[in-house]
Amino acid sequence: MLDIQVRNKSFTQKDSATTLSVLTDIRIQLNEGEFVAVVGPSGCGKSTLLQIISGLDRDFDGKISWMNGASHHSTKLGYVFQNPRLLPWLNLYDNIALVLDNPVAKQAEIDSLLEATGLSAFTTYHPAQLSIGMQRRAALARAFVIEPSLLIMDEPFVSLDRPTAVQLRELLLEILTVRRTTVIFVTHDLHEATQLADRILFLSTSPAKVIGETPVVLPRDQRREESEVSRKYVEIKALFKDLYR
Amino acid sequence: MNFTGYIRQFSSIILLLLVWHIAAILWQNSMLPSPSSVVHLIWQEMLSGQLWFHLSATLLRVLISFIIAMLIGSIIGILMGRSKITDQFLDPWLIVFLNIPALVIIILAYVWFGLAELTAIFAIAINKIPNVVVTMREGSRTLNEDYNQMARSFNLSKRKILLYITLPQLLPFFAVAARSGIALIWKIVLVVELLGRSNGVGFQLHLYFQLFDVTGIMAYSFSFILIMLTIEYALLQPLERKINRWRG
Repeated sequence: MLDIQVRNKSFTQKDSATTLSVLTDIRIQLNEGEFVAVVGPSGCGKSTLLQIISGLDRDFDGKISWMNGASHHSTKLGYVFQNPRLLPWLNLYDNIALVLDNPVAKQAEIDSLLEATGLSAFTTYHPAQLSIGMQRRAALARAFVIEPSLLIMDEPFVSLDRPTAVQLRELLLEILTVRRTTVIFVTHDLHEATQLADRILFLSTSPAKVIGETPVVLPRDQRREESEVSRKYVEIKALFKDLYR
Repeated sequence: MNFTGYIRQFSSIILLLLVWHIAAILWQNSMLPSPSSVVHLIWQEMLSGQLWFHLSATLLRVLISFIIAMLIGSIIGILMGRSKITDQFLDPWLIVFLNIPALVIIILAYVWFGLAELTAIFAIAINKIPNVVVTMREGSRTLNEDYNQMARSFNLSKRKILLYITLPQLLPFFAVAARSGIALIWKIVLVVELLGRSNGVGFQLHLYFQLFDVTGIMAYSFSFILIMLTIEYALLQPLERKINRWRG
């Protein structure tokens, strides 16, 4: 469905002439409805990769091509950032309605997502009045409400306390069973990747390139069982333990 | 502020009036009229229509020059905040205008453009514009790139970005510019009227000053201050609270 090719992406330092290469020789193919996790050490350029895929950053050598022939602009992207990036001056409902072209027509869709994320009772609250876990759930609802053809997630569950993170991952799995969506998910947590993804890609340290790949063969209905996920996690970890020495 | 807070402030004002009243009785001099004679004159001027005539002339000047200054100041400020070239080019001008004394601008404006209404309004606005520019420049520099990225990744329209992302971030700065601006304009408008207008509170103050009529000076000063405080507390502060409501 999506073919991502980044031959090179580098940043030019402001004051000097040196360029810093962050991504090299990256080729990722995403299939329709597939959940791909990209795992790599902190600061390896994962966020940059997502910015390239989303079209926020067009200054790179390579190309992003959509198989269905859709141009970049007409493709609906849902983006879940590291921090929720809800607008603090809008209430929860308006934050979600904002990203729709015609929110009135999509009333039912908004309501059902608010229901799914357990936020129905908080629609008139402003983000500052909500817990961080609720804000991230709202960011999830906002990304799903546009019925994205690609959902981009940039460490959306990072720096949360464990119970909240577990709860959010389960929520994501739950929403995905109802709304099958192609997802590219960046994380540095292999356990998280194992639980969520159909396929895991490993990125090297900067300049990042893909140095490993594995499918995660684990039925959807077993992904909420801690023991199954952990067993798989140990298996995958053993397979790639030499990767980041 | 709670109820007892208001009571304390209120009794503090009453005490001030009381001290003034006693001092006026003890001194028995026309240079220090008692509070009651000032109130009496205000009442008389109100009945004759004089007070409202001069107050409204002043308020209209405040209002028009305020709008002009906020509009021009915001545009220049936002441009300077968003574009480095504009900023570097206009910065020396800004520093010059920030440092010219209000009186100099007023005198030069009257000399060059004549003692006209338009000159008066223009002179007030010029004094205020640099402050608005500084505040709005600061505001547009602090626009959050994160929100911008969010907007672009969700492909939001230009109208939505302006309305829901850019303007809400600038609004608090606009409110600060408005409040500090109106405080400046009140002070300048009287000087402008004193030097070259034939109506308004500043003109009346000049008149009473020439007669050494302290009662008249106080009557007009207090009426004017009262109106300005009302605008501040009944209009600007609630507006600012409304703007900042979401900072829960």
